[in-house]
Amino acid sequence: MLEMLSYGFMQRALVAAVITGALCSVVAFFVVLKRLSFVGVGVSHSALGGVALGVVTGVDPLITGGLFAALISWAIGWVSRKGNLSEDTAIGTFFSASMALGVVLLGLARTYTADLMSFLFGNILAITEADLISLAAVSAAVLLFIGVFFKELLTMSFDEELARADGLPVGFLYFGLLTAIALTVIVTVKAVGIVLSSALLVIPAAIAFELVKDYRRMLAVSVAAGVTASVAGLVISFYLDVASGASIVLVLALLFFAAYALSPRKAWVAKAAARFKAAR
Amino acid sequence: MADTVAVQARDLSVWLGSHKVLEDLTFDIETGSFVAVIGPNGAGKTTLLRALLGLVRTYEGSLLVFGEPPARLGDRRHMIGYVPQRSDFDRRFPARVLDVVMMGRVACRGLGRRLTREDREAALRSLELVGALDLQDRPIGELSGGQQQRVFLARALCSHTRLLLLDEPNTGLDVASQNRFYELLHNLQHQHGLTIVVVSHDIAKVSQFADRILCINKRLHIHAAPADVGETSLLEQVYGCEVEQFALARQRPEG
Repeated sequence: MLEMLSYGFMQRALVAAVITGALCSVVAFFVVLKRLSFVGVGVSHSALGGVALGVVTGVDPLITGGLFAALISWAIGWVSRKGNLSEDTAIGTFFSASMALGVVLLGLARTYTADLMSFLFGNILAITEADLISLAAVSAAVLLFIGVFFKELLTMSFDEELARADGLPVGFLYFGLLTAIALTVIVTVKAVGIVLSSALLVIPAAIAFELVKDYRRMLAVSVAAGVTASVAGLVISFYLDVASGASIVLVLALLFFAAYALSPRKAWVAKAAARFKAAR
Repeated sequence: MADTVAVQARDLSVWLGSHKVLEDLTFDIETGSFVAVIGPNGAGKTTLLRALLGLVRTYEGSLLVFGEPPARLGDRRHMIGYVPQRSDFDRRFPARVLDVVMMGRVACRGLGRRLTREDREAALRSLELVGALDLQDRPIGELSGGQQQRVFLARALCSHTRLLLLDEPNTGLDVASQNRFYELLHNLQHQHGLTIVVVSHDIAKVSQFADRILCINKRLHIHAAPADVGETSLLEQVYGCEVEQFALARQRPEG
């Protein structure tokens, strides 16, 4: 571990892993409770179009990607809320079109084509100090939004119709949450990539959801799982010399399978133990 | 509008998209009364409740709640409590009963403001009022249908509620739970002076407790005390089928 931290790029990667794990886990808490997992997948994949637009035009891909992802998330939300299209149809259409646009644009800017893999799957080892500052600033903004409106977001996630009847500004909260998802995706692209960021936006909270029945504990377990998996994945990737983003997601997936097996909601282990005891 | 009138509708027509769901409704709901809104499926009963809540704003004519259009009630909006037909929340949602009731305090506390001890105490009082204080630490998804409805009633009561709107609150409940629930509403009306508006299909049951029956099928067909509704034939015209047991059930049970 100490050897790993003797490299500057690994120090930056570790800080990025902790921030990314914490940020994604908090956002994932509402993604899971509000059942926005597919929205997260759609928005994260859509970001490729915006990133490619930045690469081609010479504008910072983080800015174009962030704006593009936010616009796509609002479009998905608007279209599905108006009832003109179902949410999954809107997401399926927007994200495939945005990805196709991204691939075409990156194809036109041939010198950058090699970067496609890093956009898709990230490279946390290439994180710069400037990237860390962007990550920290966006994380602070997203966490501030969630912190300030936590109880309103929770109330909306529980029952949107009741929240609306209470007089809560459900539209503002919903589109604010979509924006938080979009910003989280774009700021974590460097670390875990477009494809894998959607996993971080679901799995930590899905792990917690299986293990506890209280939302406060769910949030705590989600953050613990996200940060632990991010750091463990980074360490594993360093020693096995494999892609760090993929390692992080695989650790998360293993944690999820363990949580699913041990889930008190399903009580599989307790039931199996009881059957074993009865058989004896 | 006098304080004696909680809801006033004059020539009220409500639209959902291009479809006129309610037409030319004129009625008053007196403060402290128990009103049952009945009518066949698709009659516009839920739309009327949604208009009262300010969730449907595409209407013509006049609709006043506590003297103001629902969309302009401001802080007085928290005087309206709402119990949905069946909350479509995820039964695995990780919240305790007390958490759910305290959600009813979120809007009246103010956007971005933390809930306080006062909110917790108000939620506990509401739970006590509906006889569900012992359920406060139970996960909401583990309750029976009747218990859940009492919790949602507590949630609706825990702001500064003076008008309680309930949309078919007894759907899926057994007869004993239904009776307990209506007795509870009856007590809230008489002991706490709440104005209660219940949408229901169970004409016989609501007739036992309601002061006024509001029978709608796009238009208002009957607005009278249960005893004055008269022959069931008028109801049958509205429903387009036989309406049994109505006359027999008009007397409130003893006790």
